[in-house]
Amino acid sequence: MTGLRTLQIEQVEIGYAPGRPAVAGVSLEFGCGSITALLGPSGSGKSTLLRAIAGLERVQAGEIRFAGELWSAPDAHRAPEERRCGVVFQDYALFPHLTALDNVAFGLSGPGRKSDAMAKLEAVELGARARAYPHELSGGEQQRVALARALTPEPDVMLLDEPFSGLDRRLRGALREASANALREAGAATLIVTHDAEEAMALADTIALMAEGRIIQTGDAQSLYLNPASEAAARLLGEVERFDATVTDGQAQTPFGEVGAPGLSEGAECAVLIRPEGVQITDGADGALAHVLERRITSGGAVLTLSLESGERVRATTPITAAHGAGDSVRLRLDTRFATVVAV
Amino acid sequence: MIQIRRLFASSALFGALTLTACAPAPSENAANDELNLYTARHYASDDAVYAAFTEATGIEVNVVEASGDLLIERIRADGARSPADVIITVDAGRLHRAAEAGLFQPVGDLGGALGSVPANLRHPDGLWFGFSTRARVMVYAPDRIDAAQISTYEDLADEALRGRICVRSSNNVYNISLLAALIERVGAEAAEAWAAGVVANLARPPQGGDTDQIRAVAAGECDVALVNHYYLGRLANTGAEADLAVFEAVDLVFPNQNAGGAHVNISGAGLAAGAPNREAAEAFLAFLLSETGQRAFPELTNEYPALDIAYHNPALEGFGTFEGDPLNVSALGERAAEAQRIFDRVGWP
Amino acid sequence: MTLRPNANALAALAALAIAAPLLAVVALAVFGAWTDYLAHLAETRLTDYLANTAIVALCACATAGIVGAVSAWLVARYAFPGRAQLEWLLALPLAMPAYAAAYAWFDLTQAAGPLGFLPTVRGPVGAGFIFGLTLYPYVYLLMRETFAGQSSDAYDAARTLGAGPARAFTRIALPMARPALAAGLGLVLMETMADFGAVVHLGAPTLSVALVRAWAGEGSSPDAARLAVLLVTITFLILFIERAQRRRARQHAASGRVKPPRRVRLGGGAALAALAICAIPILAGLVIPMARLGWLALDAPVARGLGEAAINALSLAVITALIAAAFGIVAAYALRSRRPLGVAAARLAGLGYAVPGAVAALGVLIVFGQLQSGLDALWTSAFGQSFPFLLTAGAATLVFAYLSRFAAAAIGPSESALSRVTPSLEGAARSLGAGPRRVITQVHWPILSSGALLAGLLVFVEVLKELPATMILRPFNFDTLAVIAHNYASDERLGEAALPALLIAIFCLPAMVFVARRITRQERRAERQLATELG
Repeated sequence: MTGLRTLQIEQVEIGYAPGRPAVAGVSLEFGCGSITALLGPSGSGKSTLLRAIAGLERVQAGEIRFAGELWSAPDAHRAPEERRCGVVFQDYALFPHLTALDNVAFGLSGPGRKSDAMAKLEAVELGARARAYPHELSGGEQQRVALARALTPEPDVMLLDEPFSGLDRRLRGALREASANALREAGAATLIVTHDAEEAMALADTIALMAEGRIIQTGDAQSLYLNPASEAAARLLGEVERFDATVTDGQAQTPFGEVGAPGLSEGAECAVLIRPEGVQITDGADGALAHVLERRITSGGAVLTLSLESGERVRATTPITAAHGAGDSVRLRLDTRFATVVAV
Repeated sequence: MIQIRRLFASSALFGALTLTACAPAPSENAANDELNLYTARHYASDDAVYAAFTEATGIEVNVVEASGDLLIERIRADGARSPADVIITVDAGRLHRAAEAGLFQPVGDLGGALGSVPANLRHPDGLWFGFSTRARVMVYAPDRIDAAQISTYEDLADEALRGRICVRSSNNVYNISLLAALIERVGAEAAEAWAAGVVANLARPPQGGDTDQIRAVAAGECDVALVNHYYLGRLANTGAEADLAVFEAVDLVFPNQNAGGAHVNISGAGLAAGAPNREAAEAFLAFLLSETGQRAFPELTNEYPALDIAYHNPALEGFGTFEGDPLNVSALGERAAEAQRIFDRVGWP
Repeated sequence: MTLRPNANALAALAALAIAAPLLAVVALAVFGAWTDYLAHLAETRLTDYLANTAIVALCACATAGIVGAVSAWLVARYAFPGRAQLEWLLALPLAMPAYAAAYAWFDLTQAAGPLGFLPTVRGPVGAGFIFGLTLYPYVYLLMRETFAGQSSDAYDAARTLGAGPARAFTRIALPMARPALAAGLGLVLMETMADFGAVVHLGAPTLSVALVRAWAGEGSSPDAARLAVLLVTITFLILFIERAQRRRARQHAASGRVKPPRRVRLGGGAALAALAICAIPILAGLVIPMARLGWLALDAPVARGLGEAAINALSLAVITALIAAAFGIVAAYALRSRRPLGVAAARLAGLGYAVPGAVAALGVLIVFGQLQSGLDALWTSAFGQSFPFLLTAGAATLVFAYLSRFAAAAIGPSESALSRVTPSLEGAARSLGAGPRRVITQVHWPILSSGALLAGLLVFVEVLKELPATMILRPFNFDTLAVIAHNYASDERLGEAALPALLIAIFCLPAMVFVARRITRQERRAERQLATELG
């Protein structure tokens, strides 16, 4: 993917305090026309990395290049205004003393800037609010102004820092879709920083998982969900059950079946990571016996909390129509497609 | 904390805050062993005069000093309650204004001392008198201008001096009193023509104080400046070499020596109308005219004494004697407003 | 957060009391005897005075605005060698009385002076520079506070939108700090308009000169009061127009957390340039004029009574600063309440600053004169003798006079600090179950306290410098440093004036260091919080 219009991050290190880098040796690439999500818990260094790409932080080691041009290195730093990087900040950072129109027009120059900005505002259906000040706009309107403002100068790279975190859930879905369309249309190399797995999976072509200053896995949503490289990576994308095991005959044993452990040596300690979907209730008699402790309804189905004979607890997802109740005994079997074995 | 307490304990303010607001003012509980002086003079050397007075009489002097205009307003605001005993200003005009406002009472003859003050330096009814004088003189560069060319104030309006005069702003009370004296002598119209002539001859817009005008003459910015005599005397006595160089580069002319006399203004004192310590006040006023008091002015502040007494000040002696304008200085107050308006009209800022 | 109605009325009452001297001046202007002086003035010098006033005010505001804002920006947002020291050194020129700086610079640059090769500092432009260089700390202090608390996101956003540092600063950071800039420039403007000594010395007579001439030359204090009212009205109009212009736009960020910015480390040439930019105003506003005075002082005898004058000045300054800071907070809440009575009273109280000192002192005299005769009459009817105390002769009177004169300096910082308590911040606290009292102690106070400290500091410095009111209202035998410095300077004894002027600056130092430390400590706490948040 080392194409012409690619942003390349190579072994970048950023730190505020010596010996405690916020970003520790991160490498990442993403190209124009694609959307990459940087997913990680707060404090994992993902916002810092975004600021470094925008030129708002300096790097202590490594390089950032775009289309082959050096943007950041310890001894070279291209100013943010010369990077053609659009940024949507977490709190939008709209200029409070400028109207929506002037906010959008800020990144433009020349005589036609106001009419260009107006066109952009109209494109996000905010033409009528052009003369409003940011504090007079709703949260969703602010987000759209911020996005329009960042896109208006037609940047090569778009960076979005938790762009939907301030919005209510219902609004989020609609805005997310509209934003994704606008971003794809713009054709910039796009990076979205988020701590919301659902958001990352809904928006991004590629997801990079970040924890403690490092990127721990990169891939598309499906492969990351089904084949996490570590427990930390697995937990970033959703709930997971962990069972400790030892590799025997190339297999790892769980209370309700065994899972293939390719690449792990015989007798090695390992962990079996199972998504809730992988634990299935079976009508057959061969499954592991478990008792239902609690049943909770979610939008995706009913989640059962079960107690195994060994005393271990596990969760399973069932269709909402399946009528299990607390105290019921059920048998469980494992769908190995939802299980991964990782070394510990 | 202890330090703070000490600070407060030693502070006059602490007493003032807690006591003055809730205790009688100093004058009201005092016998005649103190005296409240309101003065517009602000020379540290005046402390020496007060100290000498206290030593001679045992009377303590309480001092408030501020500009003459504000002093008058404070005494007026306090009305009959004013603790003021003696009022001193540095300009006859203010004394005139204070007298108009009814702030004075006749001082009596001060044991005969008042009579020895030249008649033109005191109020006709004895409401106030001058105890020291200051002359408005010309300082010039002898290498660039002939003293004969500037023997009178009137000469300053001569076209020959175009672009060669330095003088300070007309806010200065001594410029106002000089013009007031001119009005008395030659009439308002001629005085206005004179002021316009001087403005036309200015080397630069009025700026700085009198000392700055003298320095400008020494530096060659202008050839002649109109200043009070004691500023030149002081330059000789500061001890700084640069000042001495300035002093030596210039000469002084007492104007109008055979044409009405040099303009003089006074520092003057009067007895406050409601003086609570009248005896002490009269003792103080008499002391100002005593030999000790009179010598202090030429020797400490380079002013001339109101009385004809002997003193020691080489710089003043170097200037020689001069003939002062015999005009009664109370006229300076009467003409002050008119003089200022002339300055406004001729554009002397 | 609004005060309860009775608390609000109380605040309005306090503000009205503080505005009383100004009202007395207005009364004098309205009811005093008319002379034809104003007509004469209109025919002769008025246009000159107005033109000079405009030029002086413009130059002063431009200089103070640029110097104050740029130095505040550098110190708040960048890290470079010497930054920590410059942070409080930059405030010090405020300790230099403008007239003393004017005397020193004129003396230095006149034809025969040691810096005679420079253009002589004189005329309205020169006077404007002098005011700018001695008063820019008002702008600096208020802006530094604001920049230090302003989220850097908007500035960063501007950078990513193609704006270089200079454009992002002037177009985004500066307008966002506009309330602080306006408050600072308001103080500069008022003090400039009220000055008499410096403008006369530098040959740039402004309206305040007309006022003094009405009083000193014509003996008409009512005419002086009329001109003072004119001055105040002009100042008020300027400030009012500024406020009206930004009524709709909000300066604090519309949403989101306020993230104290981390300082950007400057290297090599940039660090040196920043150091130089910050050092120049300190040199020009304080060090050079002070050095000139100090040089002259070498040949001059030491003034007597300096120790006692210093203690007097310090005690007055500390007491007044404490009361003024408290009043500033009350007034800031009254302004925030938007109740017309409270707002009007607080604005009125703040206007006293634009009145030239001598007329302000006259206002105080009138107020106390009237109060005294009222009390005397009351006492006489009740006890058969007049009121036992004379009001004009106490230090308490002096403190009141200072309060009435410097209320603006006390209100500005608190108002600007309180504006940083955003409604959402307050709403958040309220929604977390905090009652009004807890909101004030735990949300408002931590933000407000730095404003109150600043207010106290400004008033402290102002009181140390104040002259006309001190001279006329002080008790017997009571000198302050400013009085001694002024007496010598006005007598053209710059050398003797140097030491007391120097002492004023020296006394301001620890106060400024104290305030700077307190504020820095608060910032450090915020930075630590941010660091933990980042992991």
